[in-house]
Amino acid sequence: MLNSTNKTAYGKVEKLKVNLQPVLWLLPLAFLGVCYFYPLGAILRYSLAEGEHTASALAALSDPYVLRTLWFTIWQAALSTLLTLLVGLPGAYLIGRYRFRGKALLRALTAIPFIMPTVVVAAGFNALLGARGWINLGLMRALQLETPPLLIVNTLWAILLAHVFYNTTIVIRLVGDFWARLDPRMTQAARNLGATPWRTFTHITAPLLSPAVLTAAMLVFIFNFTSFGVILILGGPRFATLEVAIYRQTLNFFNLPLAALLSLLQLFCTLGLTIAYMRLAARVSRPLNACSPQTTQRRLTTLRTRLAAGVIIIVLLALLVAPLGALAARSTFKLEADRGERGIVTTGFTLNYYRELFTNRRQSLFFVTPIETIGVSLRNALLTVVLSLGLGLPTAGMLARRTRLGRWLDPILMLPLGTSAVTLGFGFIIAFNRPPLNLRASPLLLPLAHTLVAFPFVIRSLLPAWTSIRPQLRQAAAVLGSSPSRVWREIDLPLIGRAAIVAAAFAFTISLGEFGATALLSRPEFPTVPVAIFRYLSQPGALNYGQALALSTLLMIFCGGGMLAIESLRFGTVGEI
Amino acid sequence: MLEIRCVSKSFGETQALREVSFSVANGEILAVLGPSGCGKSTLLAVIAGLLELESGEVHWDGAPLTALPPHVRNFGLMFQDYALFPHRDVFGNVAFGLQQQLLPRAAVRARVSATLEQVGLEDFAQRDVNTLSGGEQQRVALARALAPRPRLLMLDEPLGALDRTLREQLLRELRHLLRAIEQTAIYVTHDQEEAFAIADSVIVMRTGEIQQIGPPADIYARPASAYVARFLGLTNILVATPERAGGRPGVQLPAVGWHPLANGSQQPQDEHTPISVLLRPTGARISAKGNLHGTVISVSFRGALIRLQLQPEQGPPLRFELPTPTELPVVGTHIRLKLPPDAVIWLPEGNL
Repeated sequence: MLNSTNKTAYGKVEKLKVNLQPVLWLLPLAFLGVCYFYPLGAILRYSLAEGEHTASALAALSDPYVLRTLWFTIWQAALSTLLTLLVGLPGAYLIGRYRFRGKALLRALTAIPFIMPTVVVAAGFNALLGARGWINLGLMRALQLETPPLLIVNTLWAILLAHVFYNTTIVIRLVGDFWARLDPRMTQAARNLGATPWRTFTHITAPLLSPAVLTAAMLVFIFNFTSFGVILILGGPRFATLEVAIYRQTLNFFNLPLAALLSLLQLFCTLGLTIAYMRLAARVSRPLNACSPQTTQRRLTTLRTRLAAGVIIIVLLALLVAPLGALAARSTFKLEADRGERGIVTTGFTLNYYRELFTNRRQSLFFVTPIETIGVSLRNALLTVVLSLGLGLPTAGMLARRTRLGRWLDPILMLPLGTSAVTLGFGFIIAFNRPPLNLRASPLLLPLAHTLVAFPFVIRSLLPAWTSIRPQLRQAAAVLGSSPSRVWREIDLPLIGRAAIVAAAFAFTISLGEFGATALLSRPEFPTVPVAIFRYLSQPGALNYGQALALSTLLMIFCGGGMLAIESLRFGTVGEI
Repeated sequence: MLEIRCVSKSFGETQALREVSFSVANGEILAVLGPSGCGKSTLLAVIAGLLELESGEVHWDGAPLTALPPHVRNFGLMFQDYALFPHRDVFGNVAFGLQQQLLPRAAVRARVSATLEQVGLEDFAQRDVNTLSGGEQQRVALARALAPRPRLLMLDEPLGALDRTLREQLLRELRHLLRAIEQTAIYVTHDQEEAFAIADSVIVMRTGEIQQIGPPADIYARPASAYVARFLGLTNILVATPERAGGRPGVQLPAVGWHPLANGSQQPQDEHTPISVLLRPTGARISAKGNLHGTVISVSFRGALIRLQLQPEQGPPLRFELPTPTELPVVGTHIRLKLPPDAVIWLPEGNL
């Protein structure tokens, strides 16, 4: 009541801008129409109307290849999700219910997977566990073996491990935060009524937590279901999810109708999963009797809890830090002979792999030196920043007004989030390779795809800043003596500016690391860094391997910098996704 | 000195302010009291220059303010939800108004720390405002409004968002501070206890109109209308017929009989036309010789006094606060109350 009257009292000038609204909405809607709905329409058209597969579009669904791919996609996602919960839930309990030294650092480290590109993670696991990784080379030397003893890369284990790396964070954050706010008096009441600790857990804590656990599991399942880079790079040629199958059918076999059919299948699956996730997430957003974590969290006092906490922390650190550490270390260490090198191999610190980034060897896979791929990636990333901010700033500004039209359009703007990158890339290929929009050779093709992927993140980073600029803030500044131009300079600009930097950092890092759409869309003469890393990793030779690791390390540093910018520049809870 | 002359303002169909006139002397604290939606916030926005007024004038020391934009008026406004700048820390918020005046940096720093000390936030200068508690945010908002030493400070429900105990403590501090610096202020609230505690004079508003202006004690002793009486929590309102007895003005009350009116010189002109009167809840006592008799509906023991609800033979139930007698009255029994001579007050302004 009080608030609504205040709005009428202080809220002026609102009426002036209303007329511009439909015009301003045209910008993001035109973008989505051309870059999202048009390609999806092309997929639909392709899978239903073209080629000899038309009559058997439904029959193709029972094709053993399609069925096998779908089945593998589902069960690897389910298994990965189960393993992630196994590792993540103890971590969620520790972070949600206990206070201890170094907790802030541990929490900060769990942000790493959010921002690390799949190629970097794949390279990291390769540097740790691959045939040329630290562990295998170390064991070979120690045990005088001729061949690497641990064959993990190119098996299911590598896929599962990387998925657990990526998604443990989701379980820890979602379930841990929920657990932290769970009223401890509920369990105390149960104990007081005579329940054993075990019964208290199964009858009170577990049911209370279950919405959060289900939501986290659903999100993890979606990410695993649409996994692409991990399967392609760490799984090797034997494994294919729907995403990988789309990629291979498009680039290796040129079977576009089948790829379109797979894309359609993938679209329906992700759409259904996303809707299920949204429903679940809505239930978690308002927990009953939410408590401040200060009242629910205890210290680690007994020896048993300390030991358990130590084990959990070590597992998490090994999982989150070891691959990236191994990557950076391996990129500066020579452990084996280069191609053509004979005699005694000197091992030790080297910057050779980095130096090699500047040379274009005859056996090079591309027409350019590896360092030039960085130029390509940076150019794409800058264009993505410009495009996504140019679209995102006015769009977020309009969403912040909470008009009925805005509330209705908001979920539509978030749609790209529920669509896999490979599907988007495939849609781009078949939509933009002919008139009226032939963008196949345009330098804008990749930035447009990256903008589509980054758009929901950009909107969500900008929106809190726009909404925080209430009319009261401007009025407070005016009453305190600010002229209108000064109000804009001191209130609007800093609030939006900071959020804009955060949004730009998101767009930049997403573009730098994007692999799904890029793998399909990048042109051979202008490979991006992730594409180059993928190509180097799949080639033999210590030098190619070293170059892949050096490039991955550089990409990791760029993305880590982007993450630091995001974390340090957002204020309070503003910009939290 | 602030003067408001015949100010009106409407939003579409709704009339937020209707020909409002009053003045605030230098160093005076005026409370504007009324329920939500009565136009209090609109009034502040008009005075601050954030809203244009439709008709009427706002003057400061005789000079009209109407053409002045808000940023040159040098009025302070503390918003109901504080409107702290989320991108500036506590220091940055409090310093904002001073920086607009282009004061040298050292002067700004000195004034900010002095103001923070006044509101009890000496050590908070570097804190992020997003991490402060409600009470701390309230103090920062107050410091921000006070730091530029405004000619007039306006506070819009400054304690509205806080819980009861914190509210009472902050109210005491606020009164002390405003008195100490002799700040001219307008304090908007819907809580009569707040208004009475802090103000030199009070305006009671209802749907954009002023119902009564006066010192708190006067308003409480002699509400102008049944509306004001009810808003102040005085509910024993009866319809009675004026009648003089032995030259003294009085009324014939149902269930009581004749009783004098305590309005002093102001008395109803027309005898025999029914009027609204207020029966004061305090000052009565239980007595066998009492003139008001009725059935006890409820008794609630409050220590030094009891709250009693009584159903007289005629008219609505009445509430009383009595000094606790040795024997508590029993619900359902019949008792008599002796009313003090000043118990009945004529409410001159209408029936509602």
